Amino acid sequence: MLHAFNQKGVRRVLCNRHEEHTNNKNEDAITSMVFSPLAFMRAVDAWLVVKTLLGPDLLSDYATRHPNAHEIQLWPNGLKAQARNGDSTSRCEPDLVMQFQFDDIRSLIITWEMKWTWIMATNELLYEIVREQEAIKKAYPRSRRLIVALTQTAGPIKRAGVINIRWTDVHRIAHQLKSETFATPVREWGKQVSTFLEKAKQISFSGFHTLSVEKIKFQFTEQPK
Amino acid sequence: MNECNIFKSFLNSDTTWREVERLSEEAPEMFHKTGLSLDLQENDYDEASFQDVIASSSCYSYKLFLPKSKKHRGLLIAFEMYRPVSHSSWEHSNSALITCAYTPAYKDLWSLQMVLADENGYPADDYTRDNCYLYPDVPELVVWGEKNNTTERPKVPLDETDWFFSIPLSTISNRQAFFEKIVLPCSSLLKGTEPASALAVSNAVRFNEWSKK
Repeated sequence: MLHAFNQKGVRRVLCNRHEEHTNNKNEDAITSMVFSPLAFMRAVDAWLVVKTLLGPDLLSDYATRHPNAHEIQLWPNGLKAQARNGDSTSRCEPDLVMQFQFDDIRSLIITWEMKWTWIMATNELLYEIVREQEAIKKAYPRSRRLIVALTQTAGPIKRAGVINIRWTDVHRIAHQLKSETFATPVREWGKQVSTFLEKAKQISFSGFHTLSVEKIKFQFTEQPK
Repeated sequence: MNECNIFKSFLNSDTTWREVERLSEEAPEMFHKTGLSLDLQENDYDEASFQDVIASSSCYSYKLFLPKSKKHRGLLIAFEMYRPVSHSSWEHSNSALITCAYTPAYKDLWSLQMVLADENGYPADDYTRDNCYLYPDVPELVVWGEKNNTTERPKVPLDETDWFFSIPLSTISNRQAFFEKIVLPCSSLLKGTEPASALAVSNAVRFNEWSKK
C-alpha cells in the first residue's frame, strides 16, 4: 500500500462506499498491497515468491538459479511506446516491473499488467500488453523478458510470451507459502497476502471438506385437521 | 459457544457451494495441462422436489476443443449433492457425486437431469436409461447408444460418442485430486486409452446394470 499511497494518491482499499474511491484506485491499492512487500525482501526471498507464482511458465534457464539482486518498480516512469495513431510515441506505464539479476545469466525482466474488476475486452488488454512489451524491450534490450496478465476473470490472452494468472491463483500460492518450511519473510508474505485476498473474496479452490454433523431430527406435533 | 447442527449443516452447504463455484472457474486451467481447451459457457441449478425433500444439484457446461481440432465439443461438470434414499444397498447411495460428461458436439450437450444417479446406482433419468448402457466390463462408464449384447463395445472411438463417469465428491480434497480423478481420466478416455485403465485410479463409482432392473 506504501507505493500506492505515495505514487497514486490511494487512501483506501476494498472500500466502495466513497465516490472518490474509483475502481482504478482499488486496482492500484491491491497491486501495492500484494507486491510492495517484495521490494523490501532479500532478492532470493522475492524470487521464491515470483518463481512460485509463475510455476511452469518460468523460463527453464532461470528455474534453478538464485538472483543476487532485484528491483521492484510499481508504475515506473519514463517508458514510451507507439501511440494509438501509430505516428508518435506516448507514455506507457506498466503496473509492475520486476528485475532480477543473476551471476551467470542475463537479467530477467517480468512486467505485470493488473486488472481487478474492470470488464475489458481481451483485444484491448492485449493492446496494452503489446505496448508494454515494446516499451520494456526498448528500456531493457539486453535482458530476457516475460509479461504477465494478472486478472480476476478476463479471458486468457492467447499470445506467445504472455503468462495468464488470476488473483485466485495468487491466493493459492500465498496459501502454500505460509508453510513453516519457508523463510520468515516469504511465510509472512504468504500469511498476510492470503488473508488479504480472502477478505477481497479472491479465494482459490481448496477441496471439499465438511464439518461432522449429526442428522437433524425435528419432532413437530401434527395439527388436528 | 452453542453447538447447533442446523447452523453447521447450512455452513457446510454454503462452504461446499462456494468451493463448487471456485472449482468450476479453475477447471479449464487444469484441463489445459493435458492439452484440452475448455471455455465456460453457463451453469444450471436444479432442485427436484421429491417425497417432501429437496435434492440439490448443479452443473457447469464448457465448450471443449481437442488439440488440432476446431470442432465445438462439450463437457458438463455436474455436482449431485443429495438424493432421497429409503432402502438401498448401493455403496454410493449416500454420497455426493461429481460427474464428468462428454459429448462430441456441444449443441447436444448432456443436461444436468440426464447425468444424476438414483439411490440404487442407476441413472435417475428415464431417457438416459433408455438410450445408454454400461461399457462392457467397466461399470464405471455410462455410454450413449444401444447395446446389442453384453460384450459389444461402442462402434466409434470415445472422442466420437457421449459418455459420463462419476466420482464421490468427498474424494476431491484438493486441486491435485481433481486433476488425478477427473482431468486425467477424461483426457485419457479422449486419447483412446482403454476405459478400464483410464478409470483405474479414479475411484469412479460403479453403476448398477439397469437392464436387469
